[in-house]
Amino acid sequence: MPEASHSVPQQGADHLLRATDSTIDDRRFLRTFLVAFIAAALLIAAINFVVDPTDVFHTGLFPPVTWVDRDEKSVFFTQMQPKPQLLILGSSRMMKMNPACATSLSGLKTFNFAVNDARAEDYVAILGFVSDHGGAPKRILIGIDSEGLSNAPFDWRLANSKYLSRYLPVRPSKFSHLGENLLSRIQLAASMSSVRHVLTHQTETIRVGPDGYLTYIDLEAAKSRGTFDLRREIRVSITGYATSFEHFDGLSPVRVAMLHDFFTQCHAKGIQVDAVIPPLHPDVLAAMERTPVRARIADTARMLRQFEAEGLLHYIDVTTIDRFGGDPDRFFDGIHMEEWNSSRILEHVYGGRCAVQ
Amino acid sequence: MLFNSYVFCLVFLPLVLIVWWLLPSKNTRLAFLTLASYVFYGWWDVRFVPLMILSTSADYIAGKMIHKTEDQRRRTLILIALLTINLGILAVFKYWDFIATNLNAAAHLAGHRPFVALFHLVLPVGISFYTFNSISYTIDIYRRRVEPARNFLEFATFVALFPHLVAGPIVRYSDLHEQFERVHRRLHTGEASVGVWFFVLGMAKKVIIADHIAAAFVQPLFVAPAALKAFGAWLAALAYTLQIYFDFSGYSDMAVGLALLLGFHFPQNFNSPYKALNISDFWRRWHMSLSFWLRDYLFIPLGGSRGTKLQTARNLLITMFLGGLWHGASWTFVIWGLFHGAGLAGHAIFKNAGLTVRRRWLATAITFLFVIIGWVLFRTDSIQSAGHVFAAMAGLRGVESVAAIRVLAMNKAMLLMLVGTALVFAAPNTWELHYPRSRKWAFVLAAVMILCVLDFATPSPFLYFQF
Repeated sequence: MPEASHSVPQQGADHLLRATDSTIDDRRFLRTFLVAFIAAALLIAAINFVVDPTDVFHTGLFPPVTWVDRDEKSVFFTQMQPKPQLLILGSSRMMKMNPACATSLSGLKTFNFAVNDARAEDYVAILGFVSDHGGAPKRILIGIDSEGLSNAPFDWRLANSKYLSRYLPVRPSKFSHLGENLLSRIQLAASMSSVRHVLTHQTETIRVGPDGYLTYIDLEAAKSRGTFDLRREIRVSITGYATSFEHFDGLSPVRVAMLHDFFTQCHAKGIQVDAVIPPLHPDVLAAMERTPVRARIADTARMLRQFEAEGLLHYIDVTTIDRFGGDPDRFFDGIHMEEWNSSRILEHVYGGRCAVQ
Repeated sequence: MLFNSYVFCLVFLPLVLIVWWLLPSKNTRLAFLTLASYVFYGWWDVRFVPLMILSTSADYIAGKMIHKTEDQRRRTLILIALLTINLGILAVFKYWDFIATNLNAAAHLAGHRPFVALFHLVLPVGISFYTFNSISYTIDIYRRRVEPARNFLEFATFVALFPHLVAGPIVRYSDLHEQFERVHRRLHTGEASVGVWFFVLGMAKKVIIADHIAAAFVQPLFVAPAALKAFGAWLAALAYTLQIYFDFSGYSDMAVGLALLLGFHFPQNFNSPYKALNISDFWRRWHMSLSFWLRDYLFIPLGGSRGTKLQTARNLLITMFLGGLWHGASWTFVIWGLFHGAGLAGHAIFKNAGLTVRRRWLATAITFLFVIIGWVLFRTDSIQSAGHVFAAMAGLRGVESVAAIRVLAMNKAMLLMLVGTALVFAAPNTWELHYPRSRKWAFVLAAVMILCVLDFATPSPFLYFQF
């Protein structure tokens, strides 16, 4: 048999062969590496477990410094009496919709159940939770983000939610996020801030009212002092927001079906649904020209119009601020509106003038 | 299952290593390793495991049949049949929709209706890699360069071996069959120590350098090529140049490290490619297992450089055209392949004419620039997008404002860009180290590994998984 062919030249292989000769230090090297790695991993996991900054393990020894909005709002909802007749749903971009304003316009008691990074499954879970806790809303105002209809996996915050996770169509395993919860940089940073929060008695930066309304304490104070740099925030938003749309080539059929199911359930319960796509700042919109962002927003609008044609909802186009008389300076960044703009949207949807300004 | 995932590093790998080194007989261990590799592969999509077993079985049987017969015509027929099966599977999964889309577009131009249906099949991860592994096995038997595998188990282990299964290096049977014969009974501590070095350094290249550069610059800038201006376009191109090197060579280092932990030696896949002095040199240093595969199974059978200059240029263009197409069913990959093919042909012509760049730094700079331009084609999803980036790089879209440049330049990941650039040009590569086994280095590597594990929460597949 002729000499076997080698895949690549042999210099590297020869060097490797020499380098892998056993030395007396090998065992000590391997042992030290393993012990150091395992010890560090166990230490970090123990810190994250005990501090439990996102309230996953419910140890309760430290206050969860990371905002567990899904659980906090679930608790507020169960405490609210009588139950609201109008629900505001959506992501953080709908959190500045003031329930008091919505009540003054619609005449219906309102609760803001918008949650961070809301995806289609959040709405299904919230509707299930609301129904099981005595809620029977007459109307829902929902703000649909295109990015909430991507192929991204279930948000771990929903999967970890004490109240909402049980309403997920497919419940993730208890262990599915164990690695992230025990051994991630984000969780470790959150644990550190949780500990710092306790040690330094730090003040809150956000507050949620019993009606689910969000107040950005620091940002709103900076706005009123005139020290808030909106231009800078918008520049950061442009790159950050665009990134979240990379490889987002089309709406996820699974999430679209989930959303359709949500609207069908609302229809069956006799809930009137008004749907919007929360607007982006005009500068962000301009920067996203010919990008997947604009294409996916168009896809989302098309989907909502189709659901409207099926009689499932009423779609109101507020994708640009000129459609509802918005103000480009009334934003916190490129994607999050201030209450002023949110109130203009509520007025556009329900008619009239908001009593809360 | 990704190497940079909790399940792989904290569950799968420790379990596999413990069981592998505890099992007594060679065949039991190979059977276990094959099974573990199928679990590793099936983690993505279990439906693709039978496809791999089918392809493995066909290659094994064909190899035996070719070896048994002396009838040259029969040997050739079996080889053709086998290549048809392997390339047919690859064509259906990887190229069908591309071919159909282009045929339909041509029909549309000619005023006809679309006539070829699209399948919209999900591409089985790593199919291009394991298909090339298998093809080389059969061709080497046909050329009487290797004996067929002694049993199916050995061959199945060779194809499925999880360290190289999804993104190479493309390993030939001749690289491994002798190693299967003499699998160590006990852990070889020298190999394991060097394995740890390779695995941790590879992981750091991927998780600490490549992923952070990608998140800071590559993804945000390439998402809107039409909006790019000069600074952003050059930054995007350079960032991707670094990302793809640290990502892919990181994967290869991890594969070599994992193999060493199991007692196997894999071939080198990267040899400081950005230090190359010309484009031919680049291809001897970049994705070496693919370059040498293309040389041995495509370029040389086409005639190599034995004919006229024109024939050599033709052979280079065909080889690199197919090499480009191997990476993906897209015109950007085809043009990228042809771009490099033209570069190689041009280099051969200049070299024959005695026209070479004498100064090493200038030769490296020219080669690096050529490679960066190529990576723009490789990264963008359409020729139009690549055109936008090139226009911006050429300054046709203007330059950003000072404020916008400052936002990009002050990004923390810029430091990683500088470190990465210094590493690719000035540092020895992973294969050139001496892998010290002191306690101090064990602590350093453990700390680096922990830093990497803390970043696993954001799963980031390797770039070459898509091929």
